[in-house]
Amino acid sequence: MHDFVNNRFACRQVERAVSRRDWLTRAGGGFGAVALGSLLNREAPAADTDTSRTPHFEPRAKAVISLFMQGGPSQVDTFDPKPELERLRGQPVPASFAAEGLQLQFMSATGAALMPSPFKFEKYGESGLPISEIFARTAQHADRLAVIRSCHHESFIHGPALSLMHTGSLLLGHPSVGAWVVYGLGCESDNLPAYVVMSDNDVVRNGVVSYGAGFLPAVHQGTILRTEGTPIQNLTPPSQLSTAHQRTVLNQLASWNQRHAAARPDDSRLEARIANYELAFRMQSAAPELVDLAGETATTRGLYGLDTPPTERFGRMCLLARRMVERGVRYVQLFCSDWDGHGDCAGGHRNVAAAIDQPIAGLLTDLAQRGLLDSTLVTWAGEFGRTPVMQGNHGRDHNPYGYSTWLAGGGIRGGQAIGATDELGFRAVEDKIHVHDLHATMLTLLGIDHEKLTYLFEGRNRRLTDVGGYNHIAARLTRS
Amino acid sequence: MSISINSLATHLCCRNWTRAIVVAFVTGLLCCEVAVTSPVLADDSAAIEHFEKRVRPVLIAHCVKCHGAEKAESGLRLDQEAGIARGGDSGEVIRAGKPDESPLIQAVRQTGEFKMPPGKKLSDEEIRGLETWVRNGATWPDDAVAKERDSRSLIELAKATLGEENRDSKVRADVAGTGDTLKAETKSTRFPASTQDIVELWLSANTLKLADHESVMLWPDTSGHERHATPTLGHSGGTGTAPLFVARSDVDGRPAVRFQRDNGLATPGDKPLPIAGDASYTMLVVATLRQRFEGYPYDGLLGFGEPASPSNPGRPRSGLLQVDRTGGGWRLSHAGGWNHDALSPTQSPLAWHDRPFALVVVKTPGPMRTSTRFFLNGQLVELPATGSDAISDIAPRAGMAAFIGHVMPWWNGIVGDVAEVAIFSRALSDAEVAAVCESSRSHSRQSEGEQQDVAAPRPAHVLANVATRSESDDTLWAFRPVRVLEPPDVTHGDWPKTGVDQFVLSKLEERELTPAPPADRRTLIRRAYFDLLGLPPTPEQVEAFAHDPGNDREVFARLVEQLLASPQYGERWGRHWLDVARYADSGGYETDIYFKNAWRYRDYVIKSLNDDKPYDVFVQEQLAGDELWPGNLNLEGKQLMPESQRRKLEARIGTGLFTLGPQIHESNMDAGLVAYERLTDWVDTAGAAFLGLTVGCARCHDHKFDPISQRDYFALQATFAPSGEFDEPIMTPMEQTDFKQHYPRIIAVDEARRAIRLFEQTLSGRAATSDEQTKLSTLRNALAQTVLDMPGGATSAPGTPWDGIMEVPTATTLARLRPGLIPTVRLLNRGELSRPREEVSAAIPELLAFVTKTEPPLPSPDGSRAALARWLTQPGHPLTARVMVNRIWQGHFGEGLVRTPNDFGKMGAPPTHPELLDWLAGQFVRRGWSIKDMHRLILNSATWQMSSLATDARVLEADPDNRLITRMNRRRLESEALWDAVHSASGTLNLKAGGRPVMPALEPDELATIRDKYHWVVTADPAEHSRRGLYMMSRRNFRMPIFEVFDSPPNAVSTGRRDATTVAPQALWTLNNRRVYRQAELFAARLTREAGEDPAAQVDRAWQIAVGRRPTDDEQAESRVLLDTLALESSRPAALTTFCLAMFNLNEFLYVE
Repeated sequence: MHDFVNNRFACRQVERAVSRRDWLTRAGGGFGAVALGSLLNREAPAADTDTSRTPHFEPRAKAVISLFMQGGPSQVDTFDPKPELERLRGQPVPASFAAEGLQLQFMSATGAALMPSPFKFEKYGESGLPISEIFARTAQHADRLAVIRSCHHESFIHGPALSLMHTGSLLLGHPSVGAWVVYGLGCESDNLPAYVVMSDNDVVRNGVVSYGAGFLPAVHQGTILRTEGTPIQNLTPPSQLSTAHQRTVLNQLASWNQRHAAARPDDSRLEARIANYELAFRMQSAAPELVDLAGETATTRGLYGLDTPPTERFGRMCLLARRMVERGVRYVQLFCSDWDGHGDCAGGHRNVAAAIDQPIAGLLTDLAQRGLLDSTLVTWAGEFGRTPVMQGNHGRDHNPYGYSTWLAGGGIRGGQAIGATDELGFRAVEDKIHVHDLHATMLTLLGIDHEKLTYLFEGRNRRLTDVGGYNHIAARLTRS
Repeated sequence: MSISINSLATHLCCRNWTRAIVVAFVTGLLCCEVAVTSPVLADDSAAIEHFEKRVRPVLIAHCVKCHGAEKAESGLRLDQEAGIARGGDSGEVIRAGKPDESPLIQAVRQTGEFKMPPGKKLSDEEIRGLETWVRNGATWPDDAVAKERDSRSLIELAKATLGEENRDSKVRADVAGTGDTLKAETKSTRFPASTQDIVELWLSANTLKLADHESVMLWPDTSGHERHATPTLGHSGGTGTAPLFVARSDVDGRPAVRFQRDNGLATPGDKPLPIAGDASYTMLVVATLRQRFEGYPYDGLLGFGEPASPSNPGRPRSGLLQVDRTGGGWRLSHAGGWNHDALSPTQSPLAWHDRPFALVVVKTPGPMRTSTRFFLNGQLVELPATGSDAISDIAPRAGMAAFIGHVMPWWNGIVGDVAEVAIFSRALSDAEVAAVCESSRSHSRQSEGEQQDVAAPRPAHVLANVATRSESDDTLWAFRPVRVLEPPDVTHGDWPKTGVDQFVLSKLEERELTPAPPADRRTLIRRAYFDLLGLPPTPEQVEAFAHDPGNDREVFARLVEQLLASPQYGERWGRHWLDVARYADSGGYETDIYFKNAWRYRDYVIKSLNDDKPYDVFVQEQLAGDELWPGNLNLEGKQLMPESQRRKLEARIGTGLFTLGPQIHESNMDAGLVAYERLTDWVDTAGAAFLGLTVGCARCHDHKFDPISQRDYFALQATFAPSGEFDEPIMTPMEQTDFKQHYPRIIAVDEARRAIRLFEQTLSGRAATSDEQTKLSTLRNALAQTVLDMPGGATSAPGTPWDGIMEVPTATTLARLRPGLIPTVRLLNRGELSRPREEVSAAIPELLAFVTKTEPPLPSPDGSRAALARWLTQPGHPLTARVMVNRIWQGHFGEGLVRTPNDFGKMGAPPTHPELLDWLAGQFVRRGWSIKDMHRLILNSATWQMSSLATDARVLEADPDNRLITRMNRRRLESEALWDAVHSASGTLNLKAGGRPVMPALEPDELATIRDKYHWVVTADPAEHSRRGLYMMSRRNFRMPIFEVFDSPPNAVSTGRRDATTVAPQALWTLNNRRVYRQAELFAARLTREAGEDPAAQVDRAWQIAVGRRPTDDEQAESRVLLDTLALESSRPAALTTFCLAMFNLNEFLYVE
């Protein structure tokens, strides 16, 4: 049995049970683990584990807010302007382009008509970074955004592509990025989960794969936080049970369980479980406090577009993300739907962007105002991009061969675009960044060497980046 | 209205609707003010129902075989209305309305010229059914016939995909070929000249020209009498399956035929041996047998004549050699007649098993005691004084003459290798016996010589390769042969109870440590219940056990037997295997498609464990059930599935292991990539589950740590490449008939539904005109009527609106792909599909082939998995038994002897007790791979019965992780066991076994993350919601919160061992979950029911139920104070509920000592 528990003794135990090859201790991360560990013994010396918790690199950020665009936003309509498409409007992909190598889900690229973006791109900020009009408000932060225009991977289907983006693997069963990060860095909150997930329509494509712990201990899995109703599963006591009564029961339970544990002094799990009840009890008030926005000013609410219909929901998620980072949550994953523009791509994109542009801009502003942006890495990505050719009636098909993401905060040097797609915006051609490279880069910004963050599973020291991953753009991304 | 239409759509996706649901649906329509104008059951409907229930099944079962599409004897077809109307060559068969004048009725009454069906009269009820049909006009539902073709074509497709005909003809060709080559080898010149004319049967494995581990479909008789032995399936009364040919057997390495308990061979009944009455005869057997300890205590070895008369099965009129296990001994007996046994001279359990012997039994007329002589390896041995009767009436048996192994349902077969048997029709003289034995021995030496020749020409590059690897991998203990060990001597000889204890204690004594004291009875029974059943004992069971006056050892052994016989045992241990099998009910990825019949595999696993199916068979079935037990289910014309076919079906469902892995289902996926990922899943799963190796690492490069090359890896993929997933229909003819009659109506309903939706779309939101209203209501009426016309679903149980109504019940299994569809497997650079290199063919990993003295190549495409399965389950395999006994050990102790159960390679943990592991592995094989026997061996040990309290500081210091097994490990309940324990305490646990997965009602916050709400359709019958945890729906994209937070394995890949984390959401679940609270309420109600209103009695009972013991005085007092405090501001019942909730949150509730 692997037992992941939360005190110094446990660390020793786990060290023995597993292998010192793991750079970071297995007991070292996550909700209930470090949270509780720090509660029990906040100043526990790292030397106790006989493994260094000193970061591999200088950490630029200590928290992550990931804005994930489910369905795959079109790069040529957002962050990768392609004037050439205007010139070739309606024409087939030139034969010289060798489009037959591009496998798409619903169509063939050869013979399909090229379709320019209907959106205007303007240059923003001092850097003059070109951004589509549908992100005009986010664009006010142009000097904070580093756009990577040369992302690519190998799956043109949502399921596997999501799996790749979230876990670095086409196969199921691998931990999500957030799980790796909290495994590596632990949690700084005493009463909130280390890794929180929110979705604007309560749905996560690919289900738990997108935020699961895979083969890492379950403690590292993302906790779903609902933006309405009860924020966390089983958070509120049954209506029949008053808080006072629950407290009475918990006191008696603690006494019984402590007596039970006292007779079994060698078993640290029993103590850990007793402490978990206290943590659970505190979460019952901490989580509702987290989602209670009554204390936020009208200005702040306005910043996130909280009081107007299209932006209300995502605005709430962004505001909650900021509140979580403030409270020590390590990794916040926000899911936005739906960018899957097979039909009227431009129309769909305009609507989705309208719901998130203000909230994202507000989030960046608010984080900056509160001095949190420097220590918080904000990422924006979908599972792939879309084709520059038209599918059906003004739609765009999936395109994993070249697409855009952007990073901000966390020491990122904004106002720059890294890499490039070809003139049509179909394939990444310059400074190509694979999913593994993106993950390696993110970990680097968090101070972690992606080759050293490992976990022994099925006979192999596994990592987020599998056998790939280069972090060579990290230096270009950051301010020195 | 749209609600009703949606609900109809839902119902259309359900096979499990019942009339009740249909009526509910129509009621729904009525509520929506749709008038159903037609009568609910038209006369036509009643007539159709009568036809489908009482007429068609009879016609199919008794008539259609001869009077159908295939034969149409006498020009008559009874499978279609046109056929009936046309009649046969001799004119009309039915006069509508007039049964007495209808030839068909006369024929079935057997009163007229024709008597049908031939040989057997229909039952009166069946005849009455036909009469009623004719009297009412002989209506033939016109739609049913046309639609029959749809389902029939499905079944035909099924057969085609399975390549059934091909396989059968291949077997026939093999058998014929073997027979031909043997015609040349006529009479033996080996036996003494004086015996030439009395050798009635002589089977020698040396004559078999088969590949290693190929099935013996024919064992030629070289006596010259052509009494060739074939699998007993082909003989009257036979029930056996084919044994395997083994090139280098346990009989001194000679070629032999390997028998498992259900393998049997027999010679044809039309060539009886000329031995009758109280006759003289001699039997010769050269074999090595393996010990077994279960079931009926006689294992058949060799015999001839009538083994029993049907009227008196205990009265053999035959000469029989059998292994007699009565009275705990293990001896050979020669039997026949009443009071008849002549026993072999030794009763030592070790005398016969696992060593080769040549046994000659010479029989002369007279009482068994004086007329039988045994010669062992040429030496006469003393005859024990038993068997006062003579076999005065040996008589031939119809259907089979001589037989070896399992041939009668009540007679087990032997387990072991048989190199040679012979039967002579008179008693041999001592000199002749000596000569026969000598010739057998010299033959043995001769074949040993041949064998060395065979082994020599191993390709040089293979040897070189293996040699270099062997050198660098000198630490790979797991690849070395399992050592034959005796338990070591120990100083404290009074502690050990089984061999297990000697190994454990010896290690402790080396370090001068002492084992923990034995656990008390209350601890033991709770431990044993959770260990074997995954359930808590009731207070009554605890008390009865605690106070049983018997001695500890016997009382406990009895408890173990009782628990092993419980059907809940298979559920508990089946769940362990399901972790290994990465079992789930859906495919994962974005669409997460539901596997409509994965549960059949789950139930197969449970049944296999409950049946104590030998593990080697369990492995063979899962890897190659379709190849080893071929033959589709031929259900045509049969109402009941014969046992042999059930056997085949069961073996086939075992291959479901490979069909329930993660699957991508989206349009336009690259077929090559999908096939590749599937093969990857298959090979990785097989490697982890059966070999205990992480072969997957070798996909991208030669394994860095284990001697598995990239080539080995793709050779394994090639082994699986000829296989495909296939939905095997498993309906009885009755069910098929029902299905056929549903089908056309389902189509009609579907069309009507679409028409209504279209109609509503054309309205696009505006109110309908009265004209349109009429049209719509007409359509709806027709729809309702069609739904009503469908008779109740006969194929499945009510309740779960899940499987599609248009789907034939199936089991998804593996089968061979058509030759054209078999992908070529190439070695891929870095495992990338876009970088193929040379083609690779099916083979066993080289080093493993080398250490098991096997040639690497496997036959392909036919039988590659079968050969792999046989190779894996050969008794000397270094991994198969070790890996499994380690899993069993882990199931009992929480930790394996190897703590990485899916990785026996270099990166895995080495065994803490290597000798114990080998000893257990040896015992496992020797005891016929019986998993239950291993439970007995382990549970009855002093080791397993130790206390889990570590009281000795010195022990804790020396053995903090309990690697030396100084004490029992304290274990947290697994998620399923916790679920079961909560429902057991409340008294609501529903122990119904098997069937479709259950989806209990969940809270909105629990369901928040599910993508498509139809992925969680709450099971209609609430009684299902409190079934055991393992029956709950397990989707790859969504697991119920309890399973999520209490560490159910992520089911994407094989899980050898579960984590046991301690995290706060677990506390939230047990504290706040609505279902848990509801169970606390029911727990409280139970307390009032069972203990009355007295709080002291309630508290007493509560502790007993929850933790299996009375509360201490302090706990009693504290519980009462708690109850009083809680009752101050609420009611007494509410206080009791809250107190019960506290019981669920006790650490003592969650942990087993």
